[in-house]
Amino acid sequence: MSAISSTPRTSRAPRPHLSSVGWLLVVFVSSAIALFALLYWLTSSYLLHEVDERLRGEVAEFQSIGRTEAVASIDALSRRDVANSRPYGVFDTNGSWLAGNIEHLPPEKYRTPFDYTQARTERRGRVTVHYRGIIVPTTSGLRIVVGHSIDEILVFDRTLVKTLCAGLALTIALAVVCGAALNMMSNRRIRAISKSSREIMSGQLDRRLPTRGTNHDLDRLVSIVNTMLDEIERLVGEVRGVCAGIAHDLRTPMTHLRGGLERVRRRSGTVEDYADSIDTAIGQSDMVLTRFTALLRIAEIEAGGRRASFGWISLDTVLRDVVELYEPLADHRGLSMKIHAPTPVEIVGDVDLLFGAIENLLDNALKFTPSGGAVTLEVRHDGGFPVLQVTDTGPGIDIDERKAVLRPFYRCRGAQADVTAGHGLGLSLVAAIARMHGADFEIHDNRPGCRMLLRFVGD
Amino acid sequence: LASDLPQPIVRSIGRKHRVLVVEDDRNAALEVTAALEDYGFAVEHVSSGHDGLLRAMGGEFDAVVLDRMLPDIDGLSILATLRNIGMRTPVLILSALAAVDERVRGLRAGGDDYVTKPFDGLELTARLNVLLRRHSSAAAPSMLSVGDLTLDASTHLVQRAGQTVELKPREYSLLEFMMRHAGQVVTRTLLFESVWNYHFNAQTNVIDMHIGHLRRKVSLNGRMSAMIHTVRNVGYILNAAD
Repeated sequence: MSAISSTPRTSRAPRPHLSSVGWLLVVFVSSAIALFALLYWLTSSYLLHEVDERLRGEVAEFQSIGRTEAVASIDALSRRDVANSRPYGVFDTNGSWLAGNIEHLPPEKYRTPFDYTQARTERRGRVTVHYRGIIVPTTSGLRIVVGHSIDEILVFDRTLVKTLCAGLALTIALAVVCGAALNMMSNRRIRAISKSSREIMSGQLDRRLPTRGTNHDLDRLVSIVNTMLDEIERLVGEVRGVCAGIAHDLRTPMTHLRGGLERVRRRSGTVEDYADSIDTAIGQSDMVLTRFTALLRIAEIEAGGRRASFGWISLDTVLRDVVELYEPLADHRGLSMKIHAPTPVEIVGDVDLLFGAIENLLDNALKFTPSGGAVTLEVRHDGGFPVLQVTDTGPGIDIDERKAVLRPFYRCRGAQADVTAGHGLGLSLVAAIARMHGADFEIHDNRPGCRMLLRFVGD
Repeated sequence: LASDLPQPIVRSIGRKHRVLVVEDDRNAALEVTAALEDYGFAVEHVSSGHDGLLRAMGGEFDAVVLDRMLPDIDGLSILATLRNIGMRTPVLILSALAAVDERVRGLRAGGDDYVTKPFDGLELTARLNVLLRRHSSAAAPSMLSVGDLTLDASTHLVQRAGQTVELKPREYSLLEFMMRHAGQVVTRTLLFESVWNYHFNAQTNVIDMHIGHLRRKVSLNGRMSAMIHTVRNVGYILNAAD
């Protein structure tokens, strides 16, 4: 039986788009560029700002200076500036030169720093020197210009740009290499995962997606999927078991039924013979129907969660009713039945289904306990949870079979030849009812015998 | 087989009970009609919820067998309408929905019983008989007698030919139910549901043992006739004479 028969749909060609690593790269590189630009802008504007502040401070002193005093001090200042790095100039109202080492009055706005250049003859030839300057009109009607060479700042600027560009290039190169490596690694993992997925889809349900045992995102996802696959494998296995179980279990009564009908057809006896054979046939078909009903009931219980039929029920009362129903059977088998229900125990549930669960547990216990044995039924509170327990003095269930007995149609190895064995659905039904009631179904050793208990731990 | 089941048919001498069957599925309708007619009911069949509601409101039927899922009106709506206008006719809901919830819903909507498809003809008839009996005798008689077996429901005293029969409480309930339906076949499921009041397919061999004990006590340990007979593959019947 193939549970997963559909072939995977061929995915349409995906639109070309950046992988997550690509996007990360773009974001990283653009933020590196922005950071470097900001660094450059802040540094260079800080240095210029310092120069401007000095210029403003200096011209503020000249603002109210007298005419002759101005010419004299500018002349003295410019004489001291041998390197021509801090030139001064004083000009008349009409712009004619009066003193200083600035020869022309620059056509600029007053009191606002500006850039200008001046050619200068040095030993190595004529060079253009860059200056920052400011003009201030004095109260005496003069125009005083103060300059400051910014060549050093410009050199520093160029060095800064070079350094930043080199750093940026290195960063981008590193990012691209790392991104490509990451991309390759994740692609390789995805390829490995998709390969395993295809194998699983092709029917190898025992395969699992590869993990590395790290706490990586992909690893955590893979372990979730693997847990899901475990559950799917279990369910598919169960379905397979049920199908095989149904086929195997129904073949026997159907064969008997067919054989009986065929025999009476061949012999063609009296009306009584026919009536008798029909009765036998009805009995055998009833057996088949009973199994189907039980199977359907399990399916129906497993399909739903909490139902409208749920209400507060007294577990000890239901227990007493079941025991009362089974008293004649226990007497007949020579078994003693004891109830231990010291305090009332109430739970929320479906009274009919719980009756069914207890009935199946008790039926199971009575069936497998040899004559002279004892079956004890108990309800109590254990660790704050209501607990229902059925113990017997029968052969018990091997530890490796305790899970398997909950599967439909599973029969214990020891019970295989036993004619008293039931339809193999009783404990599956109990398990389904337990799940529906949020109860744990536990099977323990009773030494000798078996101890089955339902622990109603809630949803 | 014929010798096993004459009683339900014999019982139908006199006025036949009229049953309305509301069922849209042709095959299911034929099956229900055949089963009910075999056991002495006068059956009328309609296949739509609309007709069913109209006919049922006429009040000329002793019981209604109502399909849960009909093409036009939902079976439960029909039931609710009938109950709202004060119709107390017993209604047996017939449904393919086997879920535990469905039965509860059906009974809450005012249904008297709930049978899931596919059903057994005898089971259906037996249940319908129980409904009719319950409905016709609202005040159940406290003295029951079948042949030389008497049961006093007020004192729980059971006597066979003047001799007191000691019964356990559950055996008493079983006997009372069987005596109230004397001459009718009662199925194991019906007995279990009515006497133990749980709706679960009990292991039938357990019921057989209870009946066995009851039968032994009623026959005064075999000194008198058994009265309670097993109908093979079906259930039991209590008869006055053998």
